[in-house]
Amino acid sequence: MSVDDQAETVPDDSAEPRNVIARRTADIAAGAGLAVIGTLVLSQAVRSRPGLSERLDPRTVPVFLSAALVVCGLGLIVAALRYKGAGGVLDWPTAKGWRRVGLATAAFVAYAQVLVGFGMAVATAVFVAGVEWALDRGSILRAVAWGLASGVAGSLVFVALLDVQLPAGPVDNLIASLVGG
Amino acid sequence: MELLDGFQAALSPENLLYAVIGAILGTLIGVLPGIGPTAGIAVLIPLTTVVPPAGAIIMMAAIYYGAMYGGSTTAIVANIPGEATSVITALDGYELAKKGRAGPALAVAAISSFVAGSISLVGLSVFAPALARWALEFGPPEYFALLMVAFSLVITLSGRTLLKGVASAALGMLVALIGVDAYSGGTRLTFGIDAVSAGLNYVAIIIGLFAVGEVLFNVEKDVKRIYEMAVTRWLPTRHDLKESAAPALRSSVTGFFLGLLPGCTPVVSTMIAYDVERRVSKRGKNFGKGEIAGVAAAEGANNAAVSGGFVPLFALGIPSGATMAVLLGAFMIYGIQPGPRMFTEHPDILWALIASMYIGNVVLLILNLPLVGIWARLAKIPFPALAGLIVVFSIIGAYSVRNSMFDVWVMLIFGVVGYLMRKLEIPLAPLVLAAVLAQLVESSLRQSLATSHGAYTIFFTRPISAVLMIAAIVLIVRGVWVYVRNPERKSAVLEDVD
Repeated sequence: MSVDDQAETVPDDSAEPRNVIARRTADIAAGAGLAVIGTLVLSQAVRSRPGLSERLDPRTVPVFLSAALVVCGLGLIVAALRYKGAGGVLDWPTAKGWRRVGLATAAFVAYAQVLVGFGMAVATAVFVAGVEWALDRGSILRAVAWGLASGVAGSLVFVALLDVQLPAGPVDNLIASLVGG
Repeated sequence: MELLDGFQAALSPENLLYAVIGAILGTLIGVLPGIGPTAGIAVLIPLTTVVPPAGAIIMMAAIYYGAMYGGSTTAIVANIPGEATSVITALDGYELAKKGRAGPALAVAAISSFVAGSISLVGLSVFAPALARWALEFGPPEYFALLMVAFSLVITLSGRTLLKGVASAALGMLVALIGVDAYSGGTRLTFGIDAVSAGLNYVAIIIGLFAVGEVLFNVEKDVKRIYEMAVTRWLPTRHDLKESAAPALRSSVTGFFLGLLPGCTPVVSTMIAYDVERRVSKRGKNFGKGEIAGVAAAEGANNAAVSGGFVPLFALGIPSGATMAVLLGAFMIYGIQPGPRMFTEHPDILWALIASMYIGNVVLLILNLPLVGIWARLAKIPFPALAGLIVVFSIIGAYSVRNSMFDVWVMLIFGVVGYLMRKLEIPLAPLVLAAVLAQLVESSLRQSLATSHGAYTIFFTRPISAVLMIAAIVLIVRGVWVYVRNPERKSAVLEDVD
């Protein structure tokens, strides 16, 4: 976030009610999420096998921490309900922003999935080109060239030269054999 | 003498090369949009495993201070701080850039960083061994109490985000406790999933939280081209240098001493040192309006605090912030546990590392002054072209630690978690700090209780631990008191850390 952006987060009176509601909702959601995670972990922690002879039972620290998580979550909800609006504008995504984040996450997952089957060079070329084009909406040719360069360079440096044990496909093997790896 | 031996090792062609590569990579990380030093170091940790341990650690440290240097470039040229500490540099730097003085601002930033780096490295060479000698007397209760001080500082500095800061730290510790308990042999918090019984890899977690989370953040914002300013003239005038000299020196000293405090991150140190300088300087009233002395003060404090942060890391094994926590994790991967024993068990590596910092400081000045224009041009690389590459590096980094696709999935999950935490204003630094220190906290508590036959009073019957515990309690009570009195007080610290 730029400093100018940060300066813009000073609340302005006309927008305050919406901002207050957004922040309150977000803090309630965060508090509820933390309390739920804390409860789940707490239930799991108390069911762990107790220690036999240790002075500190292996369950003690997880139980303490998960209980702290529940308390913090509930505290956050209470604080959110009492919130009067002095905390600045919450930087919450628009619907378009959420869609972009969702698509990006799906692309990352797809890349990780395809990497195993197709190897570093091919998967990286397709992924980098796709991401570049999707985010920039510029020249397809440039995106493809950037993707190909990234795929080949990535495979050359990491698989062939540095010998990082990444999933390798036929193209990676070809590149490795060309450089004598 | 030990430092001279360190120089001998650091000046070997191989180690010199690693320092130079690290400095260049670090500056790149600092300059390029969409990846900060924490994520950058986390991504590069696994890739340095092809290098011998001493070289890898030298390279890691060079990446860290290189990133700190690089971060100021984008802060000055485009008002986009490459990392959190550069927020202060942007206050005056960007104003100067708008007046067409980006070049001199960048040059003064580089010179001030060099001066601060040199002064604080002398401090590091003197203070770290002394503190380590003292810390050798520490037993588990003292360690546990010291860790409590570090965590209580996190709480104190949380301000409005107190509950979120504590929750973040609790989450971090819980994540680190997943898997087989080394003492009892039983599994904890696995939810019956066999794959997690070996524990979650914290490198994957950190890469996810910082690198992938950052990419998602920028994707949401539809960030494209953000660096548009041209840098034509970079030489500062004699007047610039005269104006900058005293602020750079003063803020270096302030920044270094603040950096010594465990839990006091470079962001906090820089903010305080800048504020002190604003009050002390003759031109203080112009700070924030494009004052070259302001750039010198911010950069001096920033770089001095970074070196100051190495003192508690080397002497006590306590990181001062998220990036230091990642460095600590990197050291542990190479089988080196920072702390007082590091000075006796691995003096060769340690002094070579400190010596390499002196060398890296010179390398960075050489890189930064004449190459300012090139770095500024590199900063203009559009984010869409980098986004995919950052994810590729992240996946390679997460995978190569244990050659496991499971770690890649963990990283992606924590990428989404990191993005959501950022959106919900839950600070990431306490999570990372807690995740890296969790095992140390639990083991020191266990050993203390084993010594005392289960009596918690052990922490108050030994002088050092009693003082530390009381300090921790005072800090916690003060933090909670301030929060309860005014829960909407804005924190200028943890919210900026991430």
